[in-house]
Amino acid sequence: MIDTNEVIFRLDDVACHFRVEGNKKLKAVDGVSLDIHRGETVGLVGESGCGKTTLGRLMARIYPVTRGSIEFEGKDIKDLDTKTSFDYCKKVQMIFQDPYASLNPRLTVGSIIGEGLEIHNLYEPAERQKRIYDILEMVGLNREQASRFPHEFSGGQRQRIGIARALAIEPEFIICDEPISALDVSIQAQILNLLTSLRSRFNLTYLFISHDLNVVKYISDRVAVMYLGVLAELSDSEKIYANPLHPYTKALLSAIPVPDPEKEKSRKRIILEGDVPSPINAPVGCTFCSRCPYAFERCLVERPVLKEVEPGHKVACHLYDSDSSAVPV
Amino acid sequence: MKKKRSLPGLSPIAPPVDYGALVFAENDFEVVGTDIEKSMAMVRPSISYWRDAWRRLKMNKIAIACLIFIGIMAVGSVLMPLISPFTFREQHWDEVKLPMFTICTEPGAAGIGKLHIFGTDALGRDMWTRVWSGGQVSLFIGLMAAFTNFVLGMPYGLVSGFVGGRVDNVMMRIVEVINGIPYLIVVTLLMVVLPGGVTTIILAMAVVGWTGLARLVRGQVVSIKEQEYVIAAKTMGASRSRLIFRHIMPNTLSVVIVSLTMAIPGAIFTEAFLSFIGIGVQEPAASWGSLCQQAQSSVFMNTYLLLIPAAFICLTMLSLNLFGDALRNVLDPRMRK
Repeated sequence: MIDTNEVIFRLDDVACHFRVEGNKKLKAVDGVSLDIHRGETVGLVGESGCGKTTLGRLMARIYPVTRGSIEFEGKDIKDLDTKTSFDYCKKVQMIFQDPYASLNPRLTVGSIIGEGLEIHNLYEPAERQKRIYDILEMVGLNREQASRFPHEFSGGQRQRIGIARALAIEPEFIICDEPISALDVSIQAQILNLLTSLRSRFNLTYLFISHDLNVVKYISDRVAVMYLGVLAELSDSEKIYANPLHPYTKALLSAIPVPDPEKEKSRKRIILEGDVPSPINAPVGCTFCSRCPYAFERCLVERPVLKEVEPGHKVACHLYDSDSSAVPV
Repeated sequence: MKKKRSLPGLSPIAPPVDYGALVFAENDFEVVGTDIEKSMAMVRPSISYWRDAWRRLKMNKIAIACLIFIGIMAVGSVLMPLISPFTFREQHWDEVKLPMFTICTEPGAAGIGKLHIFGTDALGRDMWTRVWSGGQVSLFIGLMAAFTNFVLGMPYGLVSGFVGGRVDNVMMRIVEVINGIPYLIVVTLLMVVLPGGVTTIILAMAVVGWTGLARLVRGQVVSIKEQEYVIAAKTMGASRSRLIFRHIMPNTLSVVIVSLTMAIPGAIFTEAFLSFIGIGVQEPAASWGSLCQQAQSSVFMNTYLLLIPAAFICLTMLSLNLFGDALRNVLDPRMRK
């Protein structure tokens, strides 16, 4: 892994609100600040509906940002002109969750992969075919398959096609939106290994969105835990698994089963009470306060901000405030 | 008594096997290896969506029978009036309301001595020629109705669905207004204002007929544009025209084709109905509907004059509907095996 200190993406208090029936606001993402450095992989975990996909799509500019700013290589993506915005499309690519829905059923695999080359006018038209073959072989398919249609492939193969499509135009940053959760476990490992080897080969930066904690641990350098539209904790991958600070992260990590029946028996699980509140009327204070076993008065009224409590370990929880009267657990 | 059979494999005393003869030397076997060329050649050929659809349509015997019948109707309508010894407007005053399969004896007629296969009508015109020439009019109107539906409804639906928001709202309200006016009133009024004839019928049907397809296409576009492959193309920087013509439109086509196939029998029936109430095709031109209308005055004496064009309408509509159904089954992605 090539770790430089160059920040490729800087998210500052990013929010995305949707208007829903009855003029209510659905706050899918509500104030996320995050720096992503070139060459690293940031894992984004959280349960269904916590806003991880929305955050990924904000970065791919599929949804408009309601508040805050997303800077890519020092430029706010809201202020891009036609040309730079076209360049952005080349540099930031996305891999989708559902390999069955993300490929146009009417196009051959070759034209799916070649589309980006056509749009960005990369390579001479005569060389494009060769490039498509190279990419196909790079992701473990063979060139004869370029003339086939998506419905002739299995789920894992389709996801490889999705990866090939994103790779074809040589992006710098890839948003992986749950790329393996629709696949078999055996295939998951293949795709993960493929992503890892491509990362070092092309010096890629990933945002890896998933709800599978083990997968995120395997692939990420840093992990961000998301809950109801905000980041709860952000730290290096080893630290967060060894020493989770936020009560939500603790509960989340305690839910990972251990493949040893002896240890599994003695494993202590933190069972959270209640359900995730609706993002239409999230709690005023800490979003987690309705389910947190350690919540106190301040949590109900004031939303905690993401603060560095240890070097490289940020957490958004009042329990870790230096002026807090409560004792950190 | 049943004889107790002993199974050879389970006999208590197994016959001794001489393994001594089965000694393998190392070079008894050789590695065949994997022949890359061969393994690639064995892969079944790639089939495109449309070829796959055709392959499965061929398996449906009823659909193929319908297709052949529609083909016969179309070819017959074009050719029969040309090769018939009689014309559709030629009147034989001595041969009024002849029964079927009568030989023509009209003095001075070009087709003297030839057979009136379906007999003649109240004005002594050859029914065989008139039914086929009526088919020309009816099928042409059906095709043109489908064509105008496509030309007007498809772009309207595409724009409405793709642009969305307020534009979509306004465009769909316009469709609802047009849809809200009873179809027959619009057609009847237009027929009153404009001179009767095939062009007017087509125009009248075009004015009101496209709304169904526009709604259908719009619905398709709204759902397809949220599909991940369209989003993927968008994040890749694809232009609007590329999104529409390469990703969205081809994926609406199957539904559109089915809808157009179903629109043809509807238009044929509407034309027959209009002609039947007397505001459709004008004399001496014939259509299946006007033939039925003319036959109703002598329905008890010469029933075949009504039954023949009615049968043509029914069978053609039945075939088109059955074929459209089969096409829907074949083109619907959820029916894929």
